[in-house]
Amino acid sequence: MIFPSQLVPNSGDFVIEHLNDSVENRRLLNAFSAGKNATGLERYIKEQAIGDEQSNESRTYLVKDALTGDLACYFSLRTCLIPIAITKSLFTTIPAIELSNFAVNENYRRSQKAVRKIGVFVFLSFILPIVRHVASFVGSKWLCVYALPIPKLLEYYEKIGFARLDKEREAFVYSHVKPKYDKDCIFMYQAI
Amino acid sequence: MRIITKEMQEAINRNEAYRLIMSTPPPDFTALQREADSFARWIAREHSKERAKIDKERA
Repeated sequence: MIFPSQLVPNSGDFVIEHLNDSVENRRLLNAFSAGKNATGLERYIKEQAIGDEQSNESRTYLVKDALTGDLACYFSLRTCLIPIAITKSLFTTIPAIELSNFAVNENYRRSQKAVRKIGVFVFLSFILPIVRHVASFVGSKWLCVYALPIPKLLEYYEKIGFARLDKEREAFVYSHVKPKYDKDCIFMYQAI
Repeated sequence: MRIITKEMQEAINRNEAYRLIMSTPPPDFTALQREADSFARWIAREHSKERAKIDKERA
């Protein structure tokens, strides 16, 4: 087994751990705050992430401050298939990896005062290396997200390389893989 | 096992939108990498200050 810490260069300032690596990690979840507009992400890490680990629905990783041991942010990955309409009666599917959750701990951000851009750092240093590693073993064309329809958030995902499909194909994705709990999330993707 | 037929694959490949989607390269992360590097340097400096403070308190 390859541990996430083996896939990413050790900066000495942050460490990445799988949620189930230690009992201590579970304790850290209680101190996680995703801030306003992101209560779903906070609820997920506190109430659902462990269950999803047990049922193999997704994997959740914690990025911790190497000096203080504080939880800086977390992200979850799962596999998925994206249906793409070709004609009215023909469609195909694209194998992908979904970044199903990605949130910075607001308590950590506040404690470190000027911590900005940590999301970009974590995306490039931790998320992408794991995604590329998985894709090299199983074949996966896209990394995708279903982003909350908040303009600032959509801009942020665009900044880190995600794009939207054209309206017709976006609607096709929703008509096939949109669960009931997802009311207005926007599908975005980037090639791996 | 299911294997796509040549005809079906060709029909898919002929679709312009599909070709466009599939030929999209991975994003260029050059500018983003600079931001990440700048953050890495900043946090390294902050941690270094913190470590010095801790060492001082211990001494």
